[in-house]
Amino acid sequence: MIRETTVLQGTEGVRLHQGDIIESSDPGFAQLEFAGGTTVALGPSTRLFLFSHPRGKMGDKANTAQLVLLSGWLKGETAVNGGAYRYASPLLAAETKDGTVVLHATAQAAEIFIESGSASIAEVRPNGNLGQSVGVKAGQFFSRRAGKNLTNNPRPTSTFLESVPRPFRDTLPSRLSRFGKPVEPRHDHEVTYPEIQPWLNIGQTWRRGFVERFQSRLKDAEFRKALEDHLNNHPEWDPVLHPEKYSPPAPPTPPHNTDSPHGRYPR
Amino acid sequence: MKLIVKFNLVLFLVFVIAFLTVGYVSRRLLQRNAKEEILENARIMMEAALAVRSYTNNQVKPLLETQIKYSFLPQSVPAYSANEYFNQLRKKFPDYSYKEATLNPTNPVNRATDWEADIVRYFRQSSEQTELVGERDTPNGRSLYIARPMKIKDAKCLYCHDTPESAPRTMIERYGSNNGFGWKLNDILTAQIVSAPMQLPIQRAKTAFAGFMVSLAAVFVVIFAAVNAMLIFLVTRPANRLSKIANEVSLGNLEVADFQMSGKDEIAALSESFSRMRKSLVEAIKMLET
Repeated sequence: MIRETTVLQGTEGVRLHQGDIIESSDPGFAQLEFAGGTTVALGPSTRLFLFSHPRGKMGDKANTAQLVLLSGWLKGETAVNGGAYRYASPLLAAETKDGTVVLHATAQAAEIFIESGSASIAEVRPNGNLGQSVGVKAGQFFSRRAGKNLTNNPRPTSTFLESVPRPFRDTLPSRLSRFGKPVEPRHDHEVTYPEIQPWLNIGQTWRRGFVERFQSRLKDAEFRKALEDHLNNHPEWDPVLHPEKYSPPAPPTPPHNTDSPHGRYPR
Repeated sequence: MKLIVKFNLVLFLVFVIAFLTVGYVSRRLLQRNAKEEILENARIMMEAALAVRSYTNNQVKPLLETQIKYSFLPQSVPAYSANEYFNQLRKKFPDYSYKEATLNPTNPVNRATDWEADIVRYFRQSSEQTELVGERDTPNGRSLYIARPMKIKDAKCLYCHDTPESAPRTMIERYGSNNGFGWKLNDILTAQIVSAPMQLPIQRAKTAFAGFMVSLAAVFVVIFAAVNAMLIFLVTRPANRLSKIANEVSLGNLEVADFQMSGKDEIAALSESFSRMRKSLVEAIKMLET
């Protein structure tokens, strides 16, 4: 788990914060439970960014929780009256208030299965913004390959069904009541560039706060060098790495003049 | 004809009549009992199948509801679990067969054949009828069957059998949308049928009958032997000796050895009376000679 600039070893019962990045091992399985009753499961080798989680009044349009799946498997059981949840990947996103969706993402493709309830599906643009969304019903399956359009199938493909993590085939059991007091995650190390690199390259919508968040890691020479090397992928770091290029030009040196400044401006 | 021969002839005749009468009655009784036993076993099997169906519907199916959305699991179908249960049972009771014969089944395996469809239709017309027992000819010989109607009492059943639109898509994928729909609550579309070859009760009855008759014959033989032995030792032999002594005395041999029998039965009394008579006779002859 990456919280701010620190890599933490997650364990059962850890309380999540907005902005946390969670990665599961292979084989690994993680379950996130939110206030309001929504449960999200992560399959093996999954990378998830908790972009925003619900705050304030439930059901508020502006209060949609956003979970960004970079790669791997996600199953979201959205509780009725628990607010709206957007489960997004770099290619496809689903938003629902009452549905259960399974999202699978790789670098080249994304698939969404609406297990129950209803949802709206949208293509995700390269910058992370959503395209036109369509309302969908339970049982429908959508896929999209990089650079291609959305494909709608009445049933999931056999490949999807064969590879969906087995625990996803059942209703996710809540375990929240077992943990009264939050467990503190164990500090491991400060995040390195390779660990954060995929996230620095995702759509601008999602990575917009990363410069401020990871700026302190520029003290690490290796981190800084790696950023420099891949600057083309995340040019927003250039002003931080090379502030001199963006500082306002120095005012021209005034000609030597003995007049009082007051003499230059009309009164 | 000797007494023992007469006695044995009558005894044999009585035994033969008794043997045939008992054999006829017991054979019918044993056959009826064997048939009843098979029907009772079939009833227990049916009740067990119903229990398995209920367990599947109430406990297993809810657990698999989510999984069914991914791929169809026949384990969630009550009829499937009942058949699987019976298949296990058949490993120990291979003579019995089980079918939930249905007029409009989802799985074609459960489709009622002609005679089964007649049974279902009979139950549909006679809604009060709860059981039907019958026999029928099959290529493997005569068969005994017991059938019970299965009424749709649980609305949960209609989840899969109401309309194709409301049924699980994975089920439609497996079986199509043409069969197994349009069911109504309290309708009778299925008959639960357990069959067993008629040869089974007959064979069981024959085995029991043979054992019984052999035992009965053995008892008759033992009685026959015991009665003959008693007749020989207690009646025939003493009577022969008395006859021999009487014969000697009648020929004037008054010195013949006396015959004494212990006991208080009729032969002993006769022997005692004969000895007394012989003594009296010897005394009378001696008096005549002097």
